[in-house]
Amino acid sequence: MNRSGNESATISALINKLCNFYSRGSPELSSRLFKTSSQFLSSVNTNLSIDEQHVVHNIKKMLAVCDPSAEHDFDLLYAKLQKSSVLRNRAAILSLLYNLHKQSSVCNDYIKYPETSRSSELDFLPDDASNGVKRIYCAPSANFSSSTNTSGTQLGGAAEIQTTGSEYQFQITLKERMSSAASCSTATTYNNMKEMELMQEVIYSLQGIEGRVLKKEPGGCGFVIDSKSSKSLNIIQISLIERIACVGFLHNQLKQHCEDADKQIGVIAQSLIATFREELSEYYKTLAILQAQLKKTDTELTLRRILVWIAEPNNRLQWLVYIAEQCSNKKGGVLISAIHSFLQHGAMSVQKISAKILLAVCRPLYIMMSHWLLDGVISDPHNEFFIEARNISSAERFWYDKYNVKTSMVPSFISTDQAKKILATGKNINFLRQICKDSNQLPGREAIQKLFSATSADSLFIPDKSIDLHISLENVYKETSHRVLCMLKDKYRLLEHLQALRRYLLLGQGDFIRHLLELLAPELGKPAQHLYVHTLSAILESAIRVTNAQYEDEDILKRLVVEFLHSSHGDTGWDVFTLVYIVDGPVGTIFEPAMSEYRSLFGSLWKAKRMEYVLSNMRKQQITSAKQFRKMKVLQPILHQIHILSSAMIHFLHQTQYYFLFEVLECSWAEMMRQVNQAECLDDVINAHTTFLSSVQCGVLLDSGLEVNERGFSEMCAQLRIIYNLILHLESTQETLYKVALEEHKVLCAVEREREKLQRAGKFSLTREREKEDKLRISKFHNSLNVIKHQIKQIAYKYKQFVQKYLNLLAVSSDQNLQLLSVRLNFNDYYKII
Amino acid sequence: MPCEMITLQLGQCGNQIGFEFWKRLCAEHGINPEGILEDFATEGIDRKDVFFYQADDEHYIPRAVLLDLEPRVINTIMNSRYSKLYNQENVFLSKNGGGAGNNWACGYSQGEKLNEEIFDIIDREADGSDSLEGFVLCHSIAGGTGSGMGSNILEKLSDRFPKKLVQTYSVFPNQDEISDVVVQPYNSLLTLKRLTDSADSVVVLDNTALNRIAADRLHIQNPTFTQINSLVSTIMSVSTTTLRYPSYMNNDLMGLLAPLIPTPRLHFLMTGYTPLSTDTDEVSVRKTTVLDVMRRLLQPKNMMVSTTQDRNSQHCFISILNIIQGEVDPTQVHKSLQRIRERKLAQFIPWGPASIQVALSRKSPYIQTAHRVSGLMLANHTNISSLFDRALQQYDKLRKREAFLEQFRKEEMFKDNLAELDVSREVVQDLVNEYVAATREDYCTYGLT
Repeated sequence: MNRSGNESATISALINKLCNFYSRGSPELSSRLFKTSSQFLSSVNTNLSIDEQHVVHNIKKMLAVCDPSAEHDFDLLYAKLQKSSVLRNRAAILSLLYNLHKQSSVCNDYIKYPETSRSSELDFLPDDASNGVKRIYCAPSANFSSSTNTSGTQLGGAAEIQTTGSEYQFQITLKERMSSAASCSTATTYNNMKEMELMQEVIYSLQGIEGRVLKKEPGGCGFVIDSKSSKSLNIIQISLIERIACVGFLHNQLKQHCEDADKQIGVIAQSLIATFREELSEYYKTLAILQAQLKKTDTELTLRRILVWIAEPNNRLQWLVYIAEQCSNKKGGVLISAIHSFLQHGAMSVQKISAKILLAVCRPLYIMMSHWLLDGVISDPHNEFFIEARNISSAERFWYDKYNVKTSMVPSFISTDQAKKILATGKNINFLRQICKDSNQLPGREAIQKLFSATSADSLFIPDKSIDLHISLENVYKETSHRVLCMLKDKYRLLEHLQALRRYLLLGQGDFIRHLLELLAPELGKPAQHLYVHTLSAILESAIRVTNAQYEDEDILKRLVVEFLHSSHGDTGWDVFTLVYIVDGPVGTIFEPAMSEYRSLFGSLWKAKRMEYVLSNMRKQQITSAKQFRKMKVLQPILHQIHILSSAMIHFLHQTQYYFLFEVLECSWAEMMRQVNQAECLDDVINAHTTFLSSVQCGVLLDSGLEVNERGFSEMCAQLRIIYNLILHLESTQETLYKVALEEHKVLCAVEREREKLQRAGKFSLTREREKEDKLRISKFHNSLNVIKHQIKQIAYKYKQFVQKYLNLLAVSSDQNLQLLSVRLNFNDYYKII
Repeated sequence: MPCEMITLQLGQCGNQIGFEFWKRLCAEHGINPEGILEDFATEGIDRKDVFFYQADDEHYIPRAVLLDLEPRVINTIMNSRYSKLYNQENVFLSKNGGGAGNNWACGYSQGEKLNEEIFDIIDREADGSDSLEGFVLCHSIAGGTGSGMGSNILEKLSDRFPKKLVQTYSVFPNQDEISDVVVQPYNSLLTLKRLTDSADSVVVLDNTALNRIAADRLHIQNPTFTQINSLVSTIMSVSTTTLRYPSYMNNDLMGLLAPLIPTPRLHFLMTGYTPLSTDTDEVSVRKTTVLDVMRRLLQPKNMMVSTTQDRNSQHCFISILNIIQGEVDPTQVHKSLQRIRERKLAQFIPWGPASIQVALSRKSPYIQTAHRVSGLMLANHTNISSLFDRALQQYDKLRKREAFLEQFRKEEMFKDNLAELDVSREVVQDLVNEYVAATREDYCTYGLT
C-alpha cells in the first residue's frame, strides 16, 4: 500500500510499457500515448478526494528521509491542525503543502499514480464478495444497495459492479457518476468522526460487537449505522463501514450456527461445528492483528486497509456461512453428502474449504465404518451412520431385519451397491459371531485393519485413494460372505436341509410319502377333532422305519413332525394334517420365513398325492374284482362306465402330478441348485431359494400374489378342487357299487351251491317261495344299480364339464407353463378347447 | 418294506429269463452273486427290499420262487456263481423230473397235482413280506411247463390272493421259424385265456420281435438264448426301475399300471427299448437326446412285439408310459412331447384322454452305460390284438384238422370233450374284439347292448 516516489517511477514505467504494447513497437506513437495518459491521469488527480491519512503518511515518509527530527514536529503540528476548527480541509491543505514541497525539491516530475484507481481496484474484491452475500441474504442487501447509490460517485468502478443488476441500471449509474463527478470537487464533505474511532467500531463489528455507530440490526445479525452518527459521516465512510459491517454480519451468522448446532447432537455435526470454530478462530487471529495495528501509535491502518485485510476472510466466511446454511438441520450421511456436493465447485478456494470440512466430517464416519467392518459394531449413538441396527433378538429374523441400510444416510460418494456390501460385511461378521457362535479369527480382518491404520478419512472420497479402499472392502466382503456360506454349508448343513425339505415336504421321497399315505388313510378319514398328534406321529415313525427315509440322517428325521392346521367344524383329518420341518439356528434364517409357503405347497401336493392314491386304489379294486364279477353280466355295463371314467381321471391326475413334480418342482430345483452352487453370499442363496419357492408356488397354482391381477389363478385352483371332489365322489360311488355287487355275488354263489346240492339230491332246484324272494332281491339289486349308474353318469358329465373349463382357463393363462399343461392334459385332443 | 413283489419263474424259458433278471438286479443294486452287498454300495438311494429280503446274516435273498418240471435249467442255475443267491427252499423241482413234454395239458394237470406244495412255498414267501403288492410271473406261453403249469398257478393265484396284483412277463413264440413244438398253437391259446382272465397285467415279450431286433438292430445273425434273454432282462429291470429307485411318482406297481390299463381286460403291454446295445457293441455314435429316445421308442422297429401293420386299420395307442433314465433335463421332456404331438407321431384312442406319460427315473450308479439317455416304453396298443389274431388263426388251422389232440385227450381236462379249447378261443376272440372296439369312439358304450 505504501506509496513512494521511486514506486511511482515504476508505475510510470508500467504505463510506458502499456503504451508500448498498444503502439505495437512504434516509438512515436508510444510517446504520444504516454503524454496523453499522463495528462489524463494528472487531470483526474485534481478531481479526487484526498485521503488525509495518506497525505500525512507521505509527508511523514518524506520527513523521515530528509530530516527525522522534523517528523516529531510535524506530528505536533498535525495534531494542532486536527484540533483546529477553522481549517477543515485538512487533507487538501496537507496535500497542497506536500505537493508544493515535492515540486520544489526532488522533481522527478512524474505523475503520481492516482490513488483512487488503485483503491478501486482493490475494493473490487470485497465488493464482489459482498455482492455474493447479497445474493444469498436479502436482508442486508437492501441496506447495502441503498447506500451504494449514494456512494457510487466516490467509489468509481466499484459502484458499477455493485449495482450491476441490469443494463438499464448500469446506464443510470454511469450518468449519475458523470454528473456527480462534475460537482465532485465541491461536494466533497468531511465528517467530524475520527477515522480511528470508526476503525475501532468496525473492528468491533467484525467480532459481532455493536458500538456507537454500528448498531445491531434489530432481530437480525447484521449491523446498521446509527442514524444519529450517520449524519456526521461522509458518504465514503458510510459505504466503507457498511461493507466491513457486512463481514461482521457473516461472522455473526456463522457464530449463530455454531451456537445453534450445539443444541444438535451428532458426532458428524459436531465435527462440522468444530471446523467452523477453527475457522472462526483463524478469523479472530486476523482481527487481532488488525486490532494490534490499530493500537499502534504509528498505525497505518485505514478503513480501506481494513477492507483489504478482511477481503480474504470475507470470502471464506461467505462460503462457511453458505455451507452452514446448507447443513443446518441435516445430520450424518445427509450432511456429508451436502458438503461433498461443494467439492465440485469451480472455485479453487471453495474446493479447498469444502475439502477441509469434508475431511473433518468424514473422520467420524470413517471410524464408524472401521468399527463396523472390523467388528460388526455400530458405534453410532446419534443415528448418523448409514447402517442401522434394530432391536431384534430372534435368530430367524436376524439376517433380514436386524441391520439395514438407511439410504438417506448413505454419503454421496458411496454407491448403493457399495453400501450394501458394507452392510453385508458387518452383517456377516455379526451373523458369524452371534448366530453361528463362531469366534474364530475372521478372514480378511487383518487386511482391512492394516488398511484402516494406513489410510485416513479422505480415502473415502478422494477418487485415487478410494480405489484401494473399495478394493479391500470388496475383498473383505467376499471373504466374510464366503465364510458365512461355508459355515452354513459345512457346519449347519444347508444343502442337506434343502434336500430334506424337497424330500419330505415337497414329496420327493416317493416311497415314504406313498407308504405314509397308506398308513394314514384310515386315520385321516376321521373327523379332525378325533385325531391325536401322538397317534399320527407314531404312524409317521413307522412310515420312516420301513421306507428309505430310514437311511436319512437322524437329526433331519427328528425335525420332521406332524402338525394340525386350524380346523373348522366338519373338517376331516385330510383337511388339517400337515407335515412340518423344523429348522432352527443359522439355517433358520433362510428357511423360517418360508415355512408358511412350504406348508401351503405341502398341502397342495399332498392333496394331489392323495387323489393319486385314491384313484390307484380304485383301479386296483376294479382290476382285482373284475375277475370275481366276470360272470355277473348285469354288472358289466356299469363297470365299464366306471372304468372309462376313472381312467380319464387317472390320466388327468398323472399328467397334473407329472407337471407339478417334474416340470415345476424339478426344473425349479435344478435352477436353484445351480444358483446355490454359484452363490457368493448368503443373500444369493436366500434369493435363489425365494425364487424357487415362488416359481413352485406359481406352478402349483397356489400363487396368491397374482390373484389380484389375474383372477385366473385362484379360479383354476377352485376348478382343481372341484375336480378332486368329483374324484372323491366317484370313489364313494364305486365303494357302494362294489358293496352291493359283492352282496349279490355272495347270494348268487350261495344259490348256485344250493341248487347244485338240491340237484344232486334229485329235487327241484327252486321252490316257488324262493323264486319270489329271488325276484324281489334281483329287482332291488337292479334298482340300486340304476341309482349308481345314474350317479356315475352325473359325475362323468360334471367331470367332463369341469375339466373342459379348467383346460380353457389353462389355455388362456398368461403363464406359458400352464398353457403347456393344458396341451399335456389334452394331448390327443379329446377335449375341445375353445 | 411296503410294495414287495414276489417273482415266480416257471419252466425252461421262465427260469432262464428270471436268472438273467436277477443277475441284472444284483448288479444294479451292488449285490454280489452270493447275495452280499458290495463295499461300494450305499444305502438310501435304492430300494432293494422290493425284490430282495435280508436274511439274518445280512444276505440279500431274492423274493423268487423257481419252479420247473424238469431239472435241466434249474440245475444250471444252481451250479452257477449265483447258486448261493437263492433261497434253496424256494426252488421247486417236480420229483418225476420228466417235464411237461411241451404239452399245456400236461403242465396244467401236474400243476394241479403239485398245487399244495407250490403254494406252501408261495404262502411262506408272501407271509414274509410286510405289504405284498403282487406277483411277477415269468414264463413262455408256447411250451408245457410255463404255459400249462403257469396257467394253473395264475388261476390259483387270483383265487388265493384276490387282492394282489399279478403281472406276467410272457414270452410269445417266434413266428419266423418253424417250431418243433407242434401243439404250440393249442398251448398259446389255452395260456392266453388265463392271461386274459387271471392276470392283471401282461408284458408281452415276442420272440419274433426279439430275434428280429437282435438280427437287425444288434447285427447278431443267430442270437443265442442268453443274448435274447439279456434283452428281456433289460426290459424287466427297467420296467421296475421306478419301484426300485423311489422318486416323486410311480413308486408302486399299481401306480405304474393304473394309467396304462384303462379297463381290466385291456392289460397286454408292449415294450420298446432304446438305445439297444450288447456287450460287444462299440460306443454308439448316435446322439441320444430325450427327443431322440422318445421318437425312436415310437418306431415299430424298436418294439419288442411284432405286430402286423395294417394300413387300413385304425389301431392306436391306448396309453404310453416312457421310463426315461439318465441325465435328463426335465424341460426337454416337454419339448419332445410337443414335437411328437405336432408331428402326430403317435395316434391315440378317440374315446378318452390319452397321452405319453413320462417317468424320469434314476439309474443304478454302479453300472456304467455308454448312453447318456435311455428309455423304455410300456405301451398299451390296440394292435397287440393282431398277435392274438395270429394265434387264433394258427389254432384254427390246427383245430380244423383236429391235429395233435391225442396228447391233450390224455389229460383230465380234455378227457370228455374239448370244450376248454372252445371256451378259450371264445375268450381270446372276445379280447381281440374288445381291442378292435377300443379303436373306435363308441368304446365308451362297449358291451352295453
